[in-house]
Amino acid sequence: MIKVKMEVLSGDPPCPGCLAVLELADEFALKYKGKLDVIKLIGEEALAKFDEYRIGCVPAIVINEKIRIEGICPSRKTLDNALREGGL
Amino acid sequence: MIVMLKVFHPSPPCAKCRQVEKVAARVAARHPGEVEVLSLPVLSEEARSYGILLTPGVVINDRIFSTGKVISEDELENAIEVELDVK
Repeated sequence: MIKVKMEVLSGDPPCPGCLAVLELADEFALKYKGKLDVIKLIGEEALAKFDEYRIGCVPAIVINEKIRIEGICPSRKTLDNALREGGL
Repeated sequence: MIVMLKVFHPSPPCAKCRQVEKVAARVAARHPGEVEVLSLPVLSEEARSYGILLTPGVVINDRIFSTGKVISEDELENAIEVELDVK
């Protein structure tokens, strides 16, 4: 089975939105264990991807190299839909 | 006289900080040559020297103007005008 890659970008220090997204990422990593590859990028380690994907602001969620969420923490339903669109 | 306007943000910047950067840029554009805007990371010696604990942090001429909220253009415009002695 091909895993779906979800990259979560957060600022350092994290804003409230980033904290919420990081928590949501942990929750979804458990929910879709074995199917979803969650990569958390915080602060300095997020900068390269931030530029590569041309993201405007954090928090951001990139699913299989496509920006799906930017600037807000999504609802569980929205993230589920984004993952489904991403191939999960 | 040049007014120094510093916006401190986390790295990478969050949505609120981006908004404040845009507000600062728009206000600065109304005062060509009089307002200099700098966008700086909050995890820095400079931010620590001002004692900024929340982002976005806005510092005007070395005085903290606001932290942790998106300021309006009017608020910033008024503060800049006071610094420029227009008011």
